[in-house]
Amino acid sequence: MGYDFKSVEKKWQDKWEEKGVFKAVDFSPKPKFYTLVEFPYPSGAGMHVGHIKAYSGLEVVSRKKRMQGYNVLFPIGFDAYGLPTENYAIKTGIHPRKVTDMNIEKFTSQLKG
Amino acid sequence: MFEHGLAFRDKTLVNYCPSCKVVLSNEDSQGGKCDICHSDIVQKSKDVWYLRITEYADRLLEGLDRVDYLPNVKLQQRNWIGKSTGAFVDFEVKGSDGEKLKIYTTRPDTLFGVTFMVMAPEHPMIDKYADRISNMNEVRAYRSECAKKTEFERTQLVKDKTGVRLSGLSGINPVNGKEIPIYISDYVMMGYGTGAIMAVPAHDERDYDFAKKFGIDIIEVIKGGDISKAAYTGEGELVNSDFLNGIDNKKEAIEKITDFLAQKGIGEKGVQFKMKDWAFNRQRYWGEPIPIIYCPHCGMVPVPYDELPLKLPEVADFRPGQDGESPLAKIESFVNCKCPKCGADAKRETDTMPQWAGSSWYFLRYMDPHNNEAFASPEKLKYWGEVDWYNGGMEHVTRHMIYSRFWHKFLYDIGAVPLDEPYAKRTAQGLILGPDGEKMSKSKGNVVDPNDVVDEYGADVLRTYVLFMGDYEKAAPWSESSVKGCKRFIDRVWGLRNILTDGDEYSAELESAVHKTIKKVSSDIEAMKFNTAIAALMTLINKIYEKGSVNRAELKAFLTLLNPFAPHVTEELWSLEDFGGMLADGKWVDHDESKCVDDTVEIAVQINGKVRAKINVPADIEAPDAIALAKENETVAAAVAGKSVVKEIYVKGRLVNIVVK
Repeated sequence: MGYDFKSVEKKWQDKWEEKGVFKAVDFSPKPKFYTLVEFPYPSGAGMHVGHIKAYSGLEVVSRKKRMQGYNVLFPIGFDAYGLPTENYAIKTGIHPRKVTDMNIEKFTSQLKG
Repeated sequence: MFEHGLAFRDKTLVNYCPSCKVVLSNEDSQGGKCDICHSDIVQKSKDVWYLRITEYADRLLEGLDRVDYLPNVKLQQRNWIGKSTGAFVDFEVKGSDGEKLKIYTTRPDTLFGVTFMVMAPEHPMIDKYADRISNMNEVRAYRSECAKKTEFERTQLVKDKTGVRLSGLSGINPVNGKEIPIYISDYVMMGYGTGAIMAVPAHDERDYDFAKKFGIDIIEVIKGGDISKAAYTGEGELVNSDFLNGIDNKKEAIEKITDFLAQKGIGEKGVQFKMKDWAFNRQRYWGEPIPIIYCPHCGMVPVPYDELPLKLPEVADFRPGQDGESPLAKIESFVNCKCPKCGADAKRETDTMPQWAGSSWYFLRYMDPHNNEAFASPEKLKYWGEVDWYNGGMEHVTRHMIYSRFWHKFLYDIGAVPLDEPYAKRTAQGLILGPDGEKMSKSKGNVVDPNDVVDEYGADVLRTYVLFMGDYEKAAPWSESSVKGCKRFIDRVWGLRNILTDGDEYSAELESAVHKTIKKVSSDIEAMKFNTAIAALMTLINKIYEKGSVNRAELKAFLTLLNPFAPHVTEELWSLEDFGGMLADGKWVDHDESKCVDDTVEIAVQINGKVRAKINVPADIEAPDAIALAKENETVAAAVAGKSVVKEIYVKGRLVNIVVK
């Protein structure tokens, strides 16, 4: 039987989220480990393979540390203020607030996938 | 920062498009043209906010000794801060009313070689003595040309030196009383040092070019070069320098002349930084508003703490305002307010913070994201402490990181955070290039969309591939065939189910290989050597398929090691085989050092049939490797040296014989 990655990947993403296995716990007695990456600008272009490389490196480290008993905080978010977003807004005429929300939605779905 | 004297207003030159009437960033005004309408931009003087980061310069340098950043990252930060030591020297200005022109130099030891001086075109002394400068028209024309250039264009891009000599003013070299000409030139900036320099053309390349172009004397004061051909910037014995003659140690010469300057009251020791105060302003909408109120009676008054954070108002027209004003200036309901101190009608600051503001402390908020009272509670700030490991692009290791470190040190000083360095460790990833080896860009059409890869091969393949494609810190081109190779690897992992056997201990055949792989993958991940970690797992799976079976203990270890790279397929197999719980929630595997050792044997090394050494080699070593190892032995190498090798033989597990003539 061939490996059906489409259904398997979706299934586990949902299960991990539902069980909250990657949640950081405040004041856990485990040793803490804070890993951080530079968040993407929600500029409209969507995810780039460079983002995948930038984030997956420390994601691998974070997963290993978690399995080694660390309480890992590895947040993701968006670097929303500033020129990349504003210039995109000026170019398209769409309000930067709306640009930001739209692109955050797009990125979030891509990050989970 | 305002309350602590670290936020202040000062004049600066901004890129301004007279046609669009907007202030532009350096990125939006490249080549001196407006990015929107392509007309010439000018440098316009504007009163803007600054943060006094220079006050923290020494601490920003010192802190680098206590953090674990890549060496290259530390070096770039040190260069960006750019601390130098030297001297301030006063040159008398002939033609003025006893005025002194102060300069900063890192090489006071070359003072006797000064043959001219250069001021920034904006230097205030020019205006002060405008009526005594006979060629003011020429000076003004030159100034307006300079106003069109950015600092980068003035100091970095200039190939051909330009300038104007000030007729009517000249300098007096304080160490030998010689009269020297004063020029203005765009390569000298008001923002560094004192806005004026002493020029030693014999020993500075820029000064040399300038002197050649304007026919100024070049006097050698350091031996070692040929100043008729080029400036000599190396070290050597001082000549033509009065009491410094004969000294060949730069440090000693600098000390001696600096003491002399101090004694005579014409100069003093000085320290300068390349880093300038942080221009903390944008005339744009999409940023944090600056919480300051201008009151006609009280001056600048900070927005009271109970009204913070000051929120960005909703606005329909977010385009940059006219005459370099922020779009916020158009919103009367935002601008008009009461002075928090005296209650009089007052106006709000309408500039916004630059994009570097939020990125200076965002990571603190993620420690306590739902807190409505503070950016984070002291307890959570204490628990999470510093960022243990920060990874990002090399393009962010100077401005972003230095601004952020400064911000954090200020928060530490006011007791708002428990540690004074925000990031314990910093690494950086290399770019992914297009399949053609060029940087990915839409115009080149070589952009790979990660969604396409996920759709075709799955997320596990994409993740594994981007970490396998090369050294993590180096740039590497995208290769579709390597993506397919990773796809085959994941499929082979899936296929392990078909050759699974019982067994709760590693089998004798695979035991050593499994322990070695655990050791390698564990240490490689910590060192960000993801590519070799994945390669080790590929080697292990090859061994498994060669053997033809994998037992449950071996598969468990393999899935655990691969899980950080390919979490989905490993989790699915883990679950299908009932290995217990969720792998993502599972435990890492440990290795046994004693099981990682290769089996070795001692063999003899003979030269012309006579035993000269004994060496240890892996039991399964092949002949060429055994012979190579034998030759690395010192005694053997000495015996072979200078002779010609006639024959080399390896008798498996027993000896190497080398026949020489």
